[in-house]
Amino acid sequence: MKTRLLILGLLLGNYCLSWGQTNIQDQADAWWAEAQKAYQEERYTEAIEQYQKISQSGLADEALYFNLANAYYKSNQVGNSIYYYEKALLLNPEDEDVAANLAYAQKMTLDQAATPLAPTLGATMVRSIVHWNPKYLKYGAWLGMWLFVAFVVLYRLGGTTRVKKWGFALATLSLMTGLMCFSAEYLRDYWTSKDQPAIVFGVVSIREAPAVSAPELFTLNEGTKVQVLEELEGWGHIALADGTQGWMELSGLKKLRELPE
Amino acid sequence: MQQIKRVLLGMLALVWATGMWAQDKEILFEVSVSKEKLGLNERLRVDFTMNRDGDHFEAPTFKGFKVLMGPSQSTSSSWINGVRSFSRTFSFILQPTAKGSWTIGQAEITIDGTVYKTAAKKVEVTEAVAKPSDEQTAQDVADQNVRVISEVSKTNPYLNEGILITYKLLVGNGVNVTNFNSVDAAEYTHFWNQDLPINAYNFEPTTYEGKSYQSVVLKRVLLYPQKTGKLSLKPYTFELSVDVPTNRRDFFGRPLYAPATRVATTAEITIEVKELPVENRPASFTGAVGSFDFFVTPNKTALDTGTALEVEVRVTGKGNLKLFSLPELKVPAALERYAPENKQKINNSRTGMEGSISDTYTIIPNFQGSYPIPGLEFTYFDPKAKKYVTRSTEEINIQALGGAVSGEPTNTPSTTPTVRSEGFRFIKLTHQLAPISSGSFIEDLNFYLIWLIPLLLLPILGWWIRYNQARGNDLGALKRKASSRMAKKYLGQAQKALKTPDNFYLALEKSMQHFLKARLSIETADMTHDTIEELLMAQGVSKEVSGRLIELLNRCAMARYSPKKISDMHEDYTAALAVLTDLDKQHQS
Repeated sequence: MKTRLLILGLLLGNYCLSWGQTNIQDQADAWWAEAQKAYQEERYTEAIEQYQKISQSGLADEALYFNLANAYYKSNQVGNSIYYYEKALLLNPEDEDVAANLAYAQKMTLDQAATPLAPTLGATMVRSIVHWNPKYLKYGAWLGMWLFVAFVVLYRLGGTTRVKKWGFALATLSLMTGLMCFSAEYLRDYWTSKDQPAIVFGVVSIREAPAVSAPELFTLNEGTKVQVLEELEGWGHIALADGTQGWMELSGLKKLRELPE
Repeated sequence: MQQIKRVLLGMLALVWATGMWAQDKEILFEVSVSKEKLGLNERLRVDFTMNRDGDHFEAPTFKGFKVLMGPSQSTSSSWINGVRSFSRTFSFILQPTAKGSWTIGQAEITIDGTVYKTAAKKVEVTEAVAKPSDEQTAQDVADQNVRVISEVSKTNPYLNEGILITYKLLVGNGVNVTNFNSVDAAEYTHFWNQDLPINAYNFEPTTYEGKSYQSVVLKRVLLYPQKTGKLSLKPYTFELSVDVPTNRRDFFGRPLYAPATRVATTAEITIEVKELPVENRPASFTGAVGSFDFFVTPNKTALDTGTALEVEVRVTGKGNLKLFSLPELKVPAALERYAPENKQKINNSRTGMEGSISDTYTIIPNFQGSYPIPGLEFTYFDPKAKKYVTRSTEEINIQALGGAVSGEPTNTPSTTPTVRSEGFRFIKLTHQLAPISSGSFIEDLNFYLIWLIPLLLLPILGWWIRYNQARGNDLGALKRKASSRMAKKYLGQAQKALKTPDNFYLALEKSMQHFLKARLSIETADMTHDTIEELLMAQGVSKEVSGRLIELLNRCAMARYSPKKISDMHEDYTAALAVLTDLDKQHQS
């Protein structure tokens, strides 16, 4: 009885939540339409404004980031343009539109793109883990568990040994799926917290140590993608695609995984 | 005779000895005056001569005299028969101010660290004479009337601020200068210098130190100090060929000129160069001092890929144009940029360098796209306003349109992503906006509820199954109970329907079927008369009773096709009651 109440409460809560969301969704739809129109009429600043409203309302998808990046590209804001293309790629690494336009945006940068290091096996694995879709993992975990129970019941009630055998095998398989999806998400979460790509804004100095007085190694221009390895009191230890490392002030970059305020 | 010879020999020996002594560099520092007795309206020339170069010459105070000119230096050095002779003279031309006997005081000079002094000299000044002395030689006249001076436009410029040094020749009354050449050209250490050519030597009257001269500019040099602090401009020495008029006249009554050579040296000038202010110095300052304008201009902003575009970075204005570097144009890495072509158009004038310098970059976009070229900043120091001025330019946006790329660009940097013939993709038209999930579902309670509920369900389901199985053993009894209940129900219906034969027999048949279902645990589909008989026999029901039951069932079937009387129905109802009661009885036994 208690569980039933709990489920009921949860459903009710979800319902209220989704009701609130539909309101936001409607608003977002309106913003979206306005932004699309502004973009088509080449009023890019307004388009950016509207897209940003959607983003700040807590809604997002790859299309939003892509369109936002396009609008930034059209208004020649290299850093923001690359930033949102990369954000779109985080949501969907396979999108060809994003990759094509990102190439355009990267050509606006002043820095020659660093030649990436040949990825090690570990790095490749980490990259693929980071790209797992948590939505599917969640549904996988749920489905696995529920199927497990269904097949256990089949196993118990199965009249013939054949049905029982199948029930047992499928129950085991489902349980493993459920547990594996869960542990996969655990892995994904862990590696995602380690993966901190960021985009440089403005011209920044990369220094030997996290101090203004430390000797400058080189400078980076807006739009360069870096990986933040560590942070220390407003300074970030960063690495470029070609493995070069240094320290820079965190105010000079924007992390891709950061949520809008 | 003998005595005279001896004396002469002795004197020769003495001369020779002193000569030897002189060769051993005996240092002499002497004073000589042109005359020891002179009139008030005459002039006195005082020379301090030394045979070794010295420093810190200090002239005496000439009490009773006014210095008309001086100190003027003349230096001569020569090698005769392998012997070097050197002499430097500091000369003064003095004008007596009062009659009387005056003393020229001691002059001092430091030679090799030792201070040497001249002897004091007495000079008597008498009444003005009717005719000032004519006994001056042509050289004296030349020395007195030909001078070279240097003038600087500013003695405390900023670093890199242009100054002008002018060398002027002053020529006094009646003297002609026929030729000049520089003997000891000044070296401008720590200065960037540029000679300004003199096109015509124009004389103009000037007054210098109370005396009127004709002056002519011999040389102008633009100087840009490259070092801060006290810098000295070394003296410049000119050798001048001078014609001095004499008192003698030629046959036609024209004055005769005597030639003379005058070696004139300018005074040393010290310039104090100020450091540019350090505070508020912008990072884009590269050393430009003056006043400038700054432009960055492309010759086009929209072009086909593969064609060239020129961007000119230009500084125009006045200042040390040749002495700083232009800011470098930064372009997106995907654009091909060639080394700039440097152009200078500079006029040197008395006010400094003026004109423009420019760097022209050739840029080729190989791929279509839009390329912003960031604006540049140029900072210069304005010495007049004494502050830094920064000029910045706007960002330039280059549109490279897809177009005739005749061949593949050969020198494409391999690292740039090659996107050819692919246009810039338009925005996406549909969206699937969803709340951005902050982080992972492993921190979400809802996930765990849905994930773990099936595991909680498992024991509940297990209990339910076990419960049902326990009851499942009793299932036969349950079914029988239900069937006999139904039999009674339909029998009741039949009783009610005694007046309508159709309904009566239907209800009666159903009642009997349900009874049999309950008794024999068989389904309606299996009910053939043979099986019923067999099963009843097996349960120990007598042949007589089962026969009656079969007969009754037959009558029910028949009644559906042939109508029966009401009396028959009553008969059948009682018969059915009897059969069912008998069956119950026999089964129980």
